Amino acid sequence: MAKVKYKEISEKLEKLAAPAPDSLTQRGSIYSSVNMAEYYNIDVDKLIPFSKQARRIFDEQELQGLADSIKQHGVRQPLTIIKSPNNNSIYEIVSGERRLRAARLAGLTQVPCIILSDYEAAEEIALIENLQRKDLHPVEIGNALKELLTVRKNLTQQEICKKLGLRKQYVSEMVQYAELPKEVKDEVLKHNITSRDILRKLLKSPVPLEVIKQSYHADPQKELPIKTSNRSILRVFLKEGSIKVQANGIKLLSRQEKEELKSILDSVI
Amino acid sequence: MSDNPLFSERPFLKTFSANGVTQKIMSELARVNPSTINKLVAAGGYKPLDEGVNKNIRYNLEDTRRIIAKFSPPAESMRSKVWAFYNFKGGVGKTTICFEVATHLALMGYRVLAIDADPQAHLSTALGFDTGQNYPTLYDVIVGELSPNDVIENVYPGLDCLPSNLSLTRLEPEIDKMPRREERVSIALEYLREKYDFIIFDCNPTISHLNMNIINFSDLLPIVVETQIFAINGLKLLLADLQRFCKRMLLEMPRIIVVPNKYEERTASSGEAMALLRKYYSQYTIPDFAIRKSAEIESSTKLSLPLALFCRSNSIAFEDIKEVIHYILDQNLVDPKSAAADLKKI
Repeated sequence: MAKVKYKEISEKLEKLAAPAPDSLTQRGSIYSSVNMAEYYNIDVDKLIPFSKQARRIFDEQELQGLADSIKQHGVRQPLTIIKSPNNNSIYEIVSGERRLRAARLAGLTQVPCIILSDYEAAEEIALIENLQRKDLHPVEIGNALKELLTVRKNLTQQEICKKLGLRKQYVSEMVQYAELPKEVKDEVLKHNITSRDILRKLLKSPVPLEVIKQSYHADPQKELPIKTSNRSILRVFLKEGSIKVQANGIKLLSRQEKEELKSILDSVI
Repeated sequence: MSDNPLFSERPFLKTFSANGVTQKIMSELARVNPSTINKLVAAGGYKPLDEGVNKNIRYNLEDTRRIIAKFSPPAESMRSKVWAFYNFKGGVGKTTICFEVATHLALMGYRVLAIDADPQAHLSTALGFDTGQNYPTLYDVIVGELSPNDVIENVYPGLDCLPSNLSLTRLEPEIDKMPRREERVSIALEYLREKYDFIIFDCNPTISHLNMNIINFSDLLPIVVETQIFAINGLKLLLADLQRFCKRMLLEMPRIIVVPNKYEERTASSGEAMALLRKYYSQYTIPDFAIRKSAEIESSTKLSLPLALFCRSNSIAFEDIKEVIHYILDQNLVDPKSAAADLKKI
């Protein structure tokens, strides 16, 4: 016997009555609390990048591709945002900046967002998201990991390894890069020295800055060749019916060069 | 129970005895066929109150209890013995529902203790106390270190009451000064778990030390809410606060059951509120259920009469109260297999 008749819920009532994400009791699993939360449609003008995030470069072509998909299907995955501590009417995007840009390109005025209530949890999520990105410079990875350790004081390096699925040596190595003097880090980032071999050498040297400067202005015969001129990057050949690839040279490429290679290969095939 | 001269005059008790319970009502509470009750009455030789030609023959309370007790789920198999009707929003119907639940549980054969923790003392009034009198209350038990036995009064068969009056307002600042201030109620009343099948609190609408004490002591919190917009918002705040409290106290959250009250089918807000409850709080609510607004429930507390003693045979109020009680009892039954397994371990 249906003695209760249900009526549609008005938006005002929904906002008043919907329970907040349960960040209080489930500190251990940030992601599950994010999944439990409902999402709200927020104006795109109210969203800004996370204040604690490094700058990001977005590939225009990729963005356009995402924008087209959004035009068709909408934003499938809600963004994760948090109220800005400085400005109450603005939200910072913890995860989903790419989606926002693509949505803007697609002409959307609102996007679905999950609103976190705990700023500390937001920082953590942002850091972990950061680390999942490809093409991050080892120093950036190190910075992110180091910050994660500082933000979450009760998290050991071992726990981070487990959480992110990384090897212990990897994590400690990255953190060591983060502990290089600032000038060294800046130089390394500026010249995009991503070779871990070289970076390790920098760690050992007592005057790493000198080492870098020397290598740049010195002749290629020097012990630390950072920029060599001609060498093989990629060899592809057909041997006995199967395709063989020699790609050792790719490691030595800078990020820009890698992207160049990618687009060249794309156009070739 | 003390022979308290303060209320040697108890016209109240007389009222209960004058009204009995019909077989039909008994069968509803016992969840059996009326014919089963009929056979039991005949076999047991129970005499009705009124030997007249009245179609609705009623039986006295002691007999009613004996009869229904045969069908009620056994008290030993219950997980939640201590219930607290809690909501910091006033006027939702806590006391009324508390009164109905406590009295009907007693009618079903259980030994019930109703504790009035509200200085307004409406439950005590409903149960027959003259609240202007200076009888001892929970205050005297916790601060005055009086034994609960000296304060508890039997109000009718199966139902005892630890009453309240305005003096209870003095309890709050006193508790604050005491050591282990969230545990005073538990410490004072823990032993009563042995004496009663159910201990039911009626709380006052605040977030106070006393109420936190009661929550600490309780196994189950029936939260009565009105089917109204602000009431549901209040529920959200209440649950968040409760979670925070339990977390800080390292307490396991008591079981919660949200009881929507004063539901009116024709109003849009009632339907909206129910939809909201279903959407966000379905783990706490009884599916598709609300206590409907009815004149009978309102007169019940005014007359100090449990519904079973006077309601019409098709009473929706009685039906709703019965459904709540049965739902909670069923929910709280310990799984017999696991209970047996536990016993083996001991």
